[in-house]
Amino acid sequence: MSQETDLTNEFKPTRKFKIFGGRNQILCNGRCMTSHQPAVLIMTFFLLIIVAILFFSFDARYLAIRLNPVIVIPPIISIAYMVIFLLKSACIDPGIIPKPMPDEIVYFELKNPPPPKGHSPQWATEYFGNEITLKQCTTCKLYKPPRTSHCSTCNVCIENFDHHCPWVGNCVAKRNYRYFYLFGFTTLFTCIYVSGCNILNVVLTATDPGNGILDGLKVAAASLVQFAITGFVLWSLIGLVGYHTLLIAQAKTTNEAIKKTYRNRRNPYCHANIFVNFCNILCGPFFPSLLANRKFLTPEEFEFYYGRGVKTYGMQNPFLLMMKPPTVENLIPEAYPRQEPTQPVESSDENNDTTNEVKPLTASKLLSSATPLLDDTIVSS
Amino acid sequence: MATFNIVPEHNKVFLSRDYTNGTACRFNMELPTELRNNVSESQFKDTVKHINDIFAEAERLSCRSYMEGCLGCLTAYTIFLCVRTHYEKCVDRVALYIVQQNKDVYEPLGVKICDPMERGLRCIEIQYCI
Ligand SMILES: [Zn+2]
Ligand SMILES: [Zn+2]
Repeated sequence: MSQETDLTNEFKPTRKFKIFGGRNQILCNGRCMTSHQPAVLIMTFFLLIIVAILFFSFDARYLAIRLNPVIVIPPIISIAYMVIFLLKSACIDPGIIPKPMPDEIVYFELKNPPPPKGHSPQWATEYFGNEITLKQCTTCKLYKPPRTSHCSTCNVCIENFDHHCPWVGNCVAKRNYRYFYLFGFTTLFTCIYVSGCNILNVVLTATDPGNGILDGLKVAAASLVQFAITGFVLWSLIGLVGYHTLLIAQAKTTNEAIKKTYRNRRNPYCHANIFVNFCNILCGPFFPSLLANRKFLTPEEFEFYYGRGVKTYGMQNPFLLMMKPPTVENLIPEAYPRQEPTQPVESSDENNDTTNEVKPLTASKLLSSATPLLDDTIVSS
Repeated sequence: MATFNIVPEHNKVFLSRDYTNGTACRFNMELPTELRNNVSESQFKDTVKHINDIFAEAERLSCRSYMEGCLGCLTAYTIFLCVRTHYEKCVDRVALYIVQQNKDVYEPLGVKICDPMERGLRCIEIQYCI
């Protein structure tokens, strides 16, 4: 069987990150990822390094000798944490849901009743006692779970999507929200502390009788550069951190706040105790990445992405399907003996009741026979 | 022993996620109709319930998870280079449990349950013989 199909590529161990469909760049053989536009992240690092060098070579050194060496310890810790939080929020998988394989896409599309014409497939399900419809993402072809959103910048569906942050060049979502918030928080602390030290340094240098005019000028220049940077950061960050503090207290995501999801109903994720909400988000479980970038492709997946096993999936050219994800529409007709459910709509004038009959078909009824699924839908109509 | 044909649409079923209690990882406990001939309903329900329970434990918000979060933060997340997180341990337990169940129960019936992590926790793939 395998000799018959034109396999241009023999199966060889290939890590899963090679088939990652998003725009993020994956580095170190699948160990970490960055955004496709890391320029702003590099600039953030650059600013951080300038402030740190100026602070430690002028203010910290002077104040440690003049007042107390302990004064240097908090900024060392907070700057170290800033770097860690920034790297964590920028370089980890924010909660990407991997794109499904064609077999899964086709299975669920057939299991759910066909969508109205012009709509993407939907899946009606229960959610906290309410009936909701999960829409299929047109790019990823997965039924977007509640709180999930497709990021058009990263071109992937993200779980618990908060927002796409251009400053860190990554989405902020389920896996890196805490790092993002804590980065903002530590940055705020560092800025305030550094500004305080700057003022103290300027005042002390000016009042000390032993200092010459040159010392004063040097300190003033260094402080001015630091003031410019910390002032800019403080000004842009204080509102953001305040806003996210408010959101965490209400257990909302930015996405939900913008869309006003909980205008008419209670947020089921919100705990009565604000403190518990903070603990849940900042100290909750560490969700593993679902991408499994370091794992190897199964022979089946390898064949889909690199081989030419057309028969295997009942699909048209898999290379085309890589551009356009497979759906029921682009299945090879021979794999499915009858017409697709979208076809009978052409003759909708003569049998309006047909579509009405097809719709209420439950998934269990659809799948009740072992014969190809589509037969059943047509026969029953 | 069962052999698995790779034409997927005829011998694979996918167990979808259950969002009744929110976005926490839970799978549908209903027995898919295709497996009616192979597996008993109660047996299947027990297996999926056990998987769901392990995931519920992984995502439970308790003092234990808060401790883990704080410990991670205090050690600048370097601790997770040498210690696996609670969630990862639970994922391993799910994988181990599925392997065991397959060996003891499902493979003699011609059914094979796959690790949900292979499908990114979107669904559980179940292969069966026609
Ligand atoms: Zn998507
Ligand atoms: Zn994004």
